[in-house]
Amino acid sequence: MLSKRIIPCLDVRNGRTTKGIRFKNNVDIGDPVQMAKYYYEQGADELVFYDITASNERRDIMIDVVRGVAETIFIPFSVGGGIRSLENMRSVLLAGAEKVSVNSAAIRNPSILSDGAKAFGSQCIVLGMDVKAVQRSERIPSGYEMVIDGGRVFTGLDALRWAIEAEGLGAGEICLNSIDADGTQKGYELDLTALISGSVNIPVIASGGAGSIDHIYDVLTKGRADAALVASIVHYGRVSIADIKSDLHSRHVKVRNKW
Amino acid sequence: MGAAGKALKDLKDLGLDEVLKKQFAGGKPILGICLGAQIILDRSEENETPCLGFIPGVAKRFPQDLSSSKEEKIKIPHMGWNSLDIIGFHPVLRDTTPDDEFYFVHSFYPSPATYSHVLATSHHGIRFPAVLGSSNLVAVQFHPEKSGRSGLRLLDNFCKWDGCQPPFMIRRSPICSAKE
Repeated sequence: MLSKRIIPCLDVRNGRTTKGIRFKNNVDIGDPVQMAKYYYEQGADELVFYDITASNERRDIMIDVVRGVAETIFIPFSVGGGIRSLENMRSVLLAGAEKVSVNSAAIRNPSILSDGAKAFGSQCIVLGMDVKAVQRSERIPSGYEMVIDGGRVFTGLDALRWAIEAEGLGAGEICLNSIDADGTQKGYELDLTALISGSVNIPVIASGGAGSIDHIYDVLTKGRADAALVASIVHYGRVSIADIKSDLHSRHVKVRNKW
Repeated sequence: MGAAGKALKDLKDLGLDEVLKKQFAGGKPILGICLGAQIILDRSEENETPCLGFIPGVAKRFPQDLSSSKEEKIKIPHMGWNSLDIIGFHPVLRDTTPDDEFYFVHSFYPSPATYSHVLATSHHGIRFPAVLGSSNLVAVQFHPEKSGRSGLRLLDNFCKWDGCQPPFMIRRSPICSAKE
C-alpha cells in the first residue's frame, strides 16, 4: 500500500532559498542544495522547488540549482515557477528533476500539458493549481475559482472543471494550493482538497495552510490528499519531518518510516 | 522511462536490442529499472509491443476502478513510496526488509508467465510482481536511484553481484492479483 508523502517546498530566488531561519547543524539555509540534503536526510519523501526569480537570467541559475540537487539527493523532486514551454521542461528534466510543475502557463495554453505528457510522460507533468473560494455561480459551479499571478488575477475558470480537464490532457499529478489558506497556518482547505482528490484519478498534493501536525493528519485523511506540502512548519524548525511521520504513523496513516 | 513502443523502437534504431540480447546470453549482470522491468518480457500491453523476451511473460496495465479495503479509490499511475514482500532470496535484495520503501511511478506492471521469476511483490489495489530475476538479469519496477538509502543499497548490491543466480532460493509462492 502506498505511503502518504510529506513534501517540503523550497522557494528559490536568484539561486538562493528564501525561507528557513532556525536551522542547526551548520546548514546554510540560503543554499538550496544544502537545504535539499538536510530534508533528504530528515526523511522527506520528495521535494518541490519553486523558482520565484523575476529576472530573465532565471533559467540558467535555476538549472545549476537543479543539477546540484540531483547530484546530492536520491529522492524525486519537482521544479515549478516560470515553466512556459517544452524547452523549459526539457532543460529542467535533463538537469535531473523528476517532474515539472506548470501553473499559469497551463491556463493560458492548455496544450503545454498534452505536449509535455507526450514528450516526457504524464508522470513528470504536475499541474499547479492556485484556487480561491468564491460564490457558486453558473460559471463557477464548484465555488472554487482558478487564480493566477499569486492570486491577484481571477480567470473565470472553475477549479474542479479545470482539474478534470487537465487530467484528460495528460497531467500526472496535481499540486493543489488554496490561496485562502496559504500562509495562515490554520490548516489546509479540506473541502477543496477532498473535492478535487475525489474527482480525479491522479494523485493530489495538498498545499497551503499547514500549521500543525494535526492539520497534516486531517488533509491526508478527511481531505483525501495523497501527499502534503509543508513549508513554514518545517522551515522554521517548529516540527521536523521525523516528528510529522512518527505522529502520523501512531495514528495509523501509512508513511515511509525508514530512510 | 517512457512508453514501451517508443523504447523498443529506440533500442532497435540504435542496435542496442542486439547488444542486450548478446550480453544477456553472455552472462553479464543486467539490471532493468521501471520500463526496463517490462520490456525484458515477451511483450507489453502498452502499444501492443513485442519486447526482448528475456523472461516469458507480459507487461499488463493496472485494472481501472480499483479500490482499497478502506473503499478509497486506487489512483493510477501507481506513484509514490511502497514496500516489498520478498519471496525469493537474491544477492541484489540483501539487507532489504519489509520496512524499506521504494519509489514507484508506473501504470503497467510486469507479469511473468511463472512465479519462479518473481523475487518480490508489492501491492497497489492488486498484488503485483515488483522484482524479477532470471540468471544474470534482475529487474525492478521501482526506481532505486530515487529511493533514498534503500535504493542506493540495492544498487550497491547489484554492483557487487557476479551475475550468478544463488544456488538455491528460499521461496514461498506469491499471491498475485488477490485483493488485500
